[in-house]
Amino acid sequence: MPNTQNPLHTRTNTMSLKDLWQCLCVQIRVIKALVLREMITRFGRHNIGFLWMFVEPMMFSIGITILWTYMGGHAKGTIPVAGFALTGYSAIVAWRNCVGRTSNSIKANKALLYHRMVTIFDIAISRGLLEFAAVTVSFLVLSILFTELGLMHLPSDPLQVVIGWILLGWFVIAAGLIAVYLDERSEIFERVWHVAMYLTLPFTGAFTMVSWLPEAAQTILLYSPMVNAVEMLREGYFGVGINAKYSISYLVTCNIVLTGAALLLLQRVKKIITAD
Amino acid sequence: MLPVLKGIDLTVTPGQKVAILGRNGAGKSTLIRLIGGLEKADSGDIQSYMSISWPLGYSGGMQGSLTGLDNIYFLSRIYGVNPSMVKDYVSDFTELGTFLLEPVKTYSAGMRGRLAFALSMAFDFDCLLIDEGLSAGDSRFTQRCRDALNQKKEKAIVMVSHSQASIKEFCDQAYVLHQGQLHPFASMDAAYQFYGNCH
Repeated sequence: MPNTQNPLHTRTNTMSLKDLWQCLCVQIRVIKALVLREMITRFGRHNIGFLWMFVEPMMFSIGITILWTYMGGHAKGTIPVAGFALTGYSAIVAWRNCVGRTSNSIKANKALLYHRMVTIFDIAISRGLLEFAAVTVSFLVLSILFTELGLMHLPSDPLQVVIGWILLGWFVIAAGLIAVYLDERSEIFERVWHVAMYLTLPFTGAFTMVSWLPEAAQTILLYSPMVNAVEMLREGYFGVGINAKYSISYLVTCNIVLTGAALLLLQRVKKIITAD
Repeated sequence: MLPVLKGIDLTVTPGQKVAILGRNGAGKSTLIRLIGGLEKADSGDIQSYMSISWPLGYSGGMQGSLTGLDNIYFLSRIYGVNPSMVKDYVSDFTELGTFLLEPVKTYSAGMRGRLAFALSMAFDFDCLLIDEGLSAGDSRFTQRCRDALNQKKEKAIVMVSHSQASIKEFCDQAYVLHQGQLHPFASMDAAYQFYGNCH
């Protein structure tokens, strides 16, 4: 019969580097299994199944791109409308989906906390990673599609696009972890988050470049980590000519602080809920 | 905050089959959850040198909207065991057949208990925590469980149940949990006698 020995079965007070490594392996194993489990219940095996994962956010971005292309507005100067809409809306969808769908992940998976190696952090981070991966694939597929159709050019600095997107992902996933705490803490969260998400739209930086705005508005917007990330992403795409304004160190600092806060708050979630 | 358990001292050695008796709300499930690592005690510690199962019961441990088969796969992955071996063992042991393709939330209590018990046997834990998990099984399944446990004499069991039949079926030793204290007894009958007088 298979061997189920793992370090979590034996609880001792001292912990060696080897134990730490084994714990890390267990954690990765659990997160992998949780991601697969999420994929099955969310998308199932019906009709196009897992493809929905990418198609869902893609429909959103395509719709908005068409709308903006024909209605004009938003994009100015040298940035192509399709590229502007795609970068902006991918960021919005990442923000919305990661926060909204991670927040209730614990409720759906409470029964799995019966297994001692499954932690609240594992459940929340699996959902966050899955959501962000879905948006990433949709962003990637649409970029290729739009480029092929001649609606936009290849990124002028691909590495910057990748780093900008990862920093954005870090931010939205950390925000999602905090949303888990808020959701478990108070029922009010569930009621206000839709409107809150709507009100944060201007602070995602999706609708405008910072440099198009008056000085006073610029200062305020640049406090938003999302705005910094989107500006960085767009500079990577459309080149330094678009006059992007952002600070990588500010963005990274915000992410670190947010992640630290998220980890502390998740510790409290354990006390709030009782597994049933 | 009201303490549920006070000064609990319990040692379970390999092969021991222990029953915990107690009235509703006495803290039996809490004790099981502490041993299972689901909750942390406010003080004191729990040392384990055996691999311990999750509390096997009617609820918990499985995701209701997933099918029985998907739950088998998921749990095999988190416990780091080859899923296809577990699948064969479990479907043979539970005799659930095509029900394994249905969501677990549609299962009866007895079916859930069967699935949970079979999984814990497949994962080969040294110590099984059973929280009413076997009480709803039919006599054929109870017999299968007995046979499986008889083959693995070194397996320990900590069991909570209101069914005297299943306790006498599986355990050879009993403790009574009363007013937060755990009382040991030399014989099962003595334990039941004390339990009958608990108010």
